[in-house]
Amino acid sequence: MTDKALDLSVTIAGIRMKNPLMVASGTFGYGEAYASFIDNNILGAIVTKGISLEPSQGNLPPRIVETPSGMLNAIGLQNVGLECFIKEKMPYLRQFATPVIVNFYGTSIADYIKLAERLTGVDGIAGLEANISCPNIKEGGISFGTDPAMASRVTEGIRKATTLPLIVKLTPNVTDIGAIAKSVQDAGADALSLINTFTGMAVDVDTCKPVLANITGGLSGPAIRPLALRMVWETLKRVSIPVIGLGGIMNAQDALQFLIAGARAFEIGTALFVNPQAPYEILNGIESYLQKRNLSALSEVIGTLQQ
Amino acid sequence: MIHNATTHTAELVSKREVIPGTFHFVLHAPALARQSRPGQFVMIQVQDGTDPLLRRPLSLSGTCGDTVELLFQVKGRGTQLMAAWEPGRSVSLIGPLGNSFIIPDVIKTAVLVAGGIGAAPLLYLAKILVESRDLQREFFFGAKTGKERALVEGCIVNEDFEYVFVTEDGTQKFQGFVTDTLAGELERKKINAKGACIYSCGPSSMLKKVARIAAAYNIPCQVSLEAHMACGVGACLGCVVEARGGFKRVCADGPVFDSRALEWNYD
Ligand SMILES: Cc1cc2nc3c(=O)[nH]c(=O)nc-3n(C[C@H](O)[C@H](O)[C@H](O)COP(=O)(O)OP(=O)(O)OC[C@H]3O[C@@H](n4cnc5c(N)ncnc54)[C@H](O)[C@@H]3O)c2cc1C
Ligand SMILES: Cc1cc2nc3c(=O)[nH]c(=O)nc-3n(C[C@H](O)[C@H](O)[C@H](O)COP(=O)(O)O)c2cc1C
Ligand code: FES
Repeated sequence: MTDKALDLSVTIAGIRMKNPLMVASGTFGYGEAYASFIDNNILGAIVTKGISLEPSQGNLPPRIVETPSGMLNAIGLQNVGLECFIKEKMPYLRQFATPVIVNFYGTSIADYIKLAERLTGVDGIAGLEANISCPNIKEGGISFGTDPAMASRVTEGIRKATTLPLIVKLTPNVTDIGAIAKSVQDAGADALSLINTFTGMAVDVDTCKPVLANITGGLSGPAIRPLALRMVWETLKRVSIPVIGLGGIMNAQDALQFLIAGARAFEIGTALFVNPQAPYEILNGIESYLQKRNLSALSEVIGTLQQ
Repeated sequence: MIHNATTHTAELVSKREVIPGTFHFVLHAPALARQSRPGQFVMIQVQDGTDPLLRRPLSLSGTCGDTVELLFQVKGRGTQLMAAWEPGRSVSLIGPLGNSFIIPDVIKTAVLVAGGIGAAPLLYLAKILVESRDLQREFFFGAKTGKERALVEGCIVNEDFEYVFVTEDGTQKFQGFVTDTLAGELERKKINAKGACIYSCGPSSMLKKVARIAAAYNIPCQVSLEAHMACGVGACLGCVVEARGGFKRVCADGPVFDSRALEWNYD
């Protein structure tokens, strides 16, 4: 052990974070749900539940099911809508010394543009995370994030609409994540976050019905971690903008794998459900790792993968 | 802040198999015991590691001094693993979670209606209700078999409650579903809107009928619901139920709801 002050800070797209631990969209509400467990001030950044132009009811229940080392969710992006978010949720979020990154989604490029325009200039928003895993209703319902050309167009639209740091969150439900990442970078994204959930399914053998009312849902948790890590590593070979890694990170060891592979920061989601103390344990674990190796800054770990 | 839940490391003090496949746990968790109210629940970690991954929601069936009690039925893998726990084991709990039953100041008659293991949160409520004087207390308990009487007997002092046992096996005075008997007994006992309150927990098909009877007799009714949960703290929106005016989260807006606030369109 050393008494050296450790520097865990990282800067992503101009957003300075005291450490690389971010809480993932959809797993932390609007910053209030874990208030009795976690001091929001210790977090690197808070990513809020995905918002849309209008409030959304989301899918019918059942919405979640546990799977081996993971869970499927089909929340259907239920959210309070843009204006309510700004009026009722931002005042709470603003009080912490932690950057707030607003996750948002649309079903047309015009939606994304309107959202980005309105969010720009709202006091207390440090950056945007565009969730492009959603279907493009105008163009046959294919997800924006599964086609390099469509991913590029939506990114370009958002880029022109905002001066805020822009993170684009990628879906893993693609053949070549590197190609999508490259086109999103070229369209002006400042950073990438990956991965969103893998589409999955579960069947109840007693009733012969899908367990989820929505039939399919997004798989998250430790089950997807090796896939997420591979995709982060693959993406980093194709882009030069910072990458935020996520998918199944439960502890410091998991987080370090992403950092060593080159992710500049990471998000945790499902881990919070299992262990609300995870942020503390992960940050402590990263500190001990640095101390053990006699390092003073996290930057000495990022991208140190030996191949 | 919407709740005061934290993570507690509790010690399993005692374990009793009340009837085959149903266990009563007493856990030493002083802070949790102090803060909890009837109707609230905990999310319990089944074991370290990632499978089973999620915590299991369980109602508190009581508190006593520095301890909290759970009453649970073995359903699947998680509860199966819990059934093998031995006293002395250290257990991670999140709680207290959710809202609680409301006991109006003017209450004259409390009617508890439990279906099977749904008795768990009502036992906690019953223990609080025996502290109020001048209260008529009724406990309707529906189960498959007469053996299940053991779930409620012994947990609360008998004289404090009037019991109505209804079982499908015909071993009790009443045979069938508890909801077949409820309306008739409310009539016979002349229980009506004046100062009465129904509290119910059990399968959703039963709760739906209880809600209908309560509405017919104009008696306020609070029901405790179940839903599959991931976070238990209101963050994931995974546990919603259809309520008047939109979805409500069972974990954070419930688990106790006024029956009139819900849309009763499931099974
Ligand atoms: C607020 C609340 C209070 C509860 N209180 C009690 C209680 O006091 N006593 C008791 O015996 N049971 C109670 N339950 C039900 C209990 O949570 C389930 O029986 C238990 O989660 C089953 O886990 P398992 O691993 O054995 O079953 P599995 O079927 O293997 O579980 C798989 C997944 O489904 C979930 N699940 C399965 N059945 C249910 C259910 N009925 N409700 C919610 N989630 C379910 C599990 O949590 C897990 O995520 C309560 C449920 C809720 C929501
Ligand atoms: C219940 C739930 C809700 C989610 N909601 C959103 C959302 O609104 N927007 C989004 O971009 N991602 C959403 N996600 C995806 C997560 O942010 C994250 O990408 C994914 O869960 C993988 O990380 P994890 O394994 O650490 O949870 C959600 C995930 C879960 C489990
Ligand atoms: S279980 Fe997550 S919101 Fe209720």
